[in-house]
Amino acid sequence: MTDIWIVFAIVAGVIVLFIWDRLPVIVVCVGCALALWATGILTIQQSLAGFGDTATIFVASLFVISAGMERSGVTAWVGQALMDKSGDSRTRLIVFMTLAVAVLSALISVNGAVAALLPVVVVLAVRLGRAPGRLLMPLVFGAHCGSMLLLTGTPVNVLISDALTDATGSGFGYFEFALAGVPLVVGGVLISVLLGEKLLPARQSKTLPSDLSRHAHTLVEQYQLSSEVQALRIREESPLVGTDRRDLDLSQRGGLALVSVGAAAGEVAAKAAVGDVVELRRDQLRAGDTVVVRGDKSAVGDFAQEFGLVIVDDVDSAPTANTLFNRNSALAEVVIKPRSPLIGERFFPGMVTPSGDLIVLAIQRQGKDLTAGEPLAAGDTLLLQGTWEAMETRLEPAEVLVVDSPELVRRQALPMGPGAQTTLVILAAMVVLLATGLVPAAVAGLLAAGAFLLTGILNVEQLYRSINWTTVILVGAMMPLSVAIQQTGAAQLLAEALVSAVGDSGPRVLLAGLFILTAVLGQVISNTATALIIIPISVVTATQMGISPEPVLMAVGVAAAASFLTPVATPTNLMVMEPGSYKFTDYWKFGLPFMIWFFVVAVFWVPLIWGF
Amino acid sequence: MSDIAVLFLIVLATIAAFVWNRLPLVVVAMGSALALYLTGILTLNQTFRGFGDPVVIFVASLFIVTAGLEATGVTAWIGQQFERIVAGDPARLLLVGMLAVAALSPLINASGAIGALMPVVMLMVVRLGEQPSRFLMPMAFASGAGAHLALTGAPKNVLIADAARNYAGRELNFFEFALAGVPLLLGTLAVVLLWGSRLVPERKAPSLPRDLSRHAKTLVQQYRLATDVFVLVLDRASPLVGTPVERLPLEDDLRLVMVSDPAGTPRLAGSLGAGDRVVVRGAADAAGAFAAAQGLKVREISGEEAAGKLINRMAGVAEAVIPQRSALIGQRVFPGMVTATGDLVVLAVQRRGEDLVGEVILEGGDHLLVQGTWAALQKHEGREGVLIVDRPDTVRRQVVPLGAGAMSVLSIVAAMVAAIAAGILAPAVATVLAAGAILVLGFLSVDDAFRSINWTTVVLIAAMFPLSTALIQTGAAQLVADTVVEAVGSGSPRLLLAMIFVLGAVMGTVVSNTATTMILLPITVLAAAAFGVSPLPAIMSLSVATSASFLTPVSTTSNTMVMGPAGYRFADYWPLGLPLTAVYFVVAVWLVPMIWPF
Repeated sequence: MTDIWIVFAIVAGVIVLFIWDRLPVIVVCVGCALALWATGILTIQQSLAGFGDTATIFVASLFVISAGMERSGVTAWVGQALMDKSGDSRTRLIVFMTLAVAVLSALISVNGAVAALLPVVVVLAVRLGRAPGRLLMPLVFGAHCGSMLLLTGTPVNVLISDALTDATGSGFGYFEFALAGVPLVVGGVLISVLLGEKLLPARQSKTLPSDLSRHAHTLVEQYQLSSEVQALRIREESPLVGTDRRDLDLSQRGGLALVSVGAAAGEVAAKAAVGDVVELRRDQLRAGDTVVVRGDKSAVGDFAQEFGLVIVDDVDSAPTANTLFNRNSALAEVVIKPRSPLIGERFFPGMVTPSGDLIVLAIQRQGKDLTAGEPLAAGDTLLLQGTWEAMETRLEPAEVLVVDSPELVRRQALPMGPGAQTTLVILAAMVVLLATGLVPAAVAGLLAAGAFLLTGILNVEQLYRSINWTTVILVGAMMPLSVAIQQTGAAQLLAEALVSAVGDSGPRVLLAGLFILTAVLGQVISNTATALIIIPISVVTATQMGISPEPVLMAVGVAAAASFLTPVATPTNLMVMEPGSYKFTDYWKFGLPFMIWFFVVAVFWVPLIWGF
Repeated sequence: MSDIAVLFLIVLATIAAFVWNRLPLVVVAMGSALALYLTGILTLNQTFRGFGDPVVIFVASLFIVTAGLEATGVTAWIGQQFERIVAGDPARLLLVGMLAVAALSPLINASGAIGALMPVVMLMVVRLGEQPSRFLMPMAFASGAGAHLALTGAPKNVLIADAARNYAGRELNFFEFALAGVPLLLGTLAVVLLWGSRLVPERKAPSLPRDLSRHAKTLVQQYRLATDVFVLVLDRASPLVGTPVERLPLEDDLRLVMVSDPAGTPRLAGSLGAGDRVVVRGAADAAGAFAAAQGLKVREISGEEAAGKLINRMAGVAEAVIPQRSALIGQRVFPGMVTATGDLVVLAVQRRGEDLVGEVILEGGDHLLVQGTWAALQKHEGREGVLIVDRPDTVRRQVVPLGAGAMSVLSIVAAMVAAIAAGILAPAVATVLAAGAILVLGFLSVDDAFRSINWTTVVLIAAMFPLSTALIQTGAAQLVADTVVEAVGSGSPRLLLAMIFVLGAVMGTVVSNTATTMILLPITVLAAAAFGVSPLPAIMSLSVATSASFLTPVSTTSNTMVMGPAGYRFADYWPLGLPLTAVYFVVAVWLVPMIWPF
């Protein structure tokens, strides 16, 4: 009996500390696990066992998959598609946006999906001349709806499926969630379309997240790369054949500047798309190589004539931004640091950096091209071109400061980058493994994460950084609380109280009660923590009432996803608060219809699919 | 195929993959764990149980405690003391490092000692212009010898002491392990000092911390803050007392650099008080005239002093570069100006390395030196429109020894060590509490805490647990042990010790020391009984043998912990490890029976 009250006290303490919100979440969670040990309810092994639970491992591996999709440009591609397809109609935009974010969040969880689409939606809002506030909350709420489509949508889904396995021997199927998720998404779309204009504020926001999706164009404009860029192909009889690229001196030729030297088409035919200039990686020029120069048309003509070069038309017409910025070629802007060893060196456009795999496209000082031959000084800006890999590994932190990190640019601005196909294959394989139940979910997740490492889409460092450790630790450290609630009989006690309160009014009243309890708790503390507390209670209650735990657990899952009423209900609600310039009270106004719809689905729809 | 055969195949494949060294360590370790599940040797729960093992939690939270020491400048302070003792001599660093780690090991156990001293040594290594690979492996090996100095050195020591009480009927006292431990440590030192330079591989560390210890002086030079700079100290009688800072009546030929209160915190707004320091730049006679007129004491400032004024416990500086297209381009700034946010002051503006005098309109590529409290600098670090050259947090950690909170963190660590050493709390609990205290008191942010954990080490330890479980559960360990004992037959008791040693050392190479000890203890005791000799020397030999884990990076936690930072490969460990194992062998087979007779 005393153990039960200790558990209740710990639960109350955890909830109070979460609401107080002055201690780090992980301190509260791990403190909770230690409290269970210190009060003698669990052994030290038991109170730490949650970290080795399959659900914890699976949740961690989902973050890795999300990062893999982001890094290989799959999520950027979804954003791009959204931009291209949405057009000018508001309804169409909201429908497409909600569907896109719903599907993404089902695959890579709410956080990943919202983070990926937030910048795109802000750009769309600006382009369509609407307040971002009218679009951002529908985006986040759409993601909450979508998280109920698949097992991988939120950690809560994993937990309720595990709980069902413990109770009945088999969990919810990978796609089974969609039976509840599809009505939620459809309802969400309707609410956003019909009520959005009325319930959402149209304030202009002061701070918008930086948009890197047009990064290449910005750079091309800054360095005037598009004005008068010409590609020249070296003929067999050209005197340039056999010379060293570093001897290409254009400084005496009426303001001509070398942009880049491309390899002959044959060498790279397999890789290069039409119009791509693939950078030369050797010093000697050969016939067929392309020299890209910038400058006055007549000067280019003179130069071409004198050295036996053919002016190539198709490169000229292809947008320069795409030529220089694609999956094989990255651009990065770097600033020479004070006290950098490069100060005093003489760099010129077209030269290869000493590391050998980056090319200097332009050098500017105070927004103007640096005079040829002038030594570098602190604060000069260089535009570099090279492979994405070289960009991420070769920039020497002792020499330069990178203005926008290539990794960030790559994520936002490069749809379907290197490794995108592989990523999709890995994702498909994981979905098949999960859907068929061939291996347990955690094993499927780990195999997919391992595949990302082995194919080089993520490196070990990026993998660790991609995992949201707070969530993982929360799941691992709170799981023993779940166990303790069940073991000590605390769940039993609460279940008996619930059963007697429900009385003869039937199981739907139980679902309604659990929904309200979960949803209220979920507005103030993390959904995952809420689920870990409610799940054991709901399973025991279902057993007591002699009904199947399936509808009860699913209703809890739906309720846990219903984080609509406050900005602090989930991290994603908070994420859009500033860009949407929302106030605290804006959330419940738009959230209430969603909440009512979720209630209807949980209490009336769910028992139709999963009978009592 | 029997489970045992499958298991041996998995062990072989794991070792082969480790040696091949082309796959990330985490992939190999997790792959081996998953293989045990997929071949049906272990259940899924057993496969992942390692992640919830107290040892894993202990190692992870130890990283956070170490980061707390670093963040508050304790590491920088220890580094300074180290630097004084080492005096620029790498050989001395090696010796001092090994002795320090061995001395700490009995207190916070081997991996704890490595965790605490590694950042210090990394910093020293950078200053000496060396590679950490030369120092870290000898230190990891010394930590193993150090663990044999007292009962608290390793969990397996407790098992050994238990066995001695139960089977030999004798309590081992707290320091009795040192009778074998001191010779082990001396032998380790001798081997490393004699042949270390040849046997320890030279590897390039993947990332070295930048040496920022002279950062303040560098900045003073860069921005010429020590030439023509004068400190004017306000007397109580000065007419300037009570004047608002922004209305300081400076002549045209004097420029304000900064105003600070007597404690060194920049005074950005409010009135001047007695004891405040007004730092100005200009000609000496102009400064003298101003001081005489306003009743100030004038002092010329040395580079050293200027550096101290720039960076101290309370406040620091950050260098910022204005990139192209920044929103700050076109803004007017001047040295001495307080930024729009009100908590930073601009000390100097340079363009292409040249000072800009008076009011300037910012252009892309300009760089500024701004000063403020550490908290203010950190707050504005991620701001759009500027690039920060060195992260203020990184500078503070290295430059300010014993910064704010250092004493609190030291007390936390002291309490943690005391609780572990006295056996009041399990090591995992004590370190988790210490890590929690550091986070709650705000000496480390949660993000920094996660970043400080070396996840490869954590995952590696956790993922190797199932292998131990499987070895014991399938009976593979028993099989090996039985075979060896049979082979000894009726030789001398020393031959038995030799066999036990070989068994313990080989098994300890792949399985954790604690697990090896657990598996071999019953066999050791039984074998000694069958021989009709006292079990005590056999038990102690086993204890020495299970400490001799030098051949691979996965043999002990310490070995694993130094692998990443030093850039070692799998096959780097055995060249130095082999002679050390020989030393341990000699101690186990010849010395142990002299101390604890048959």
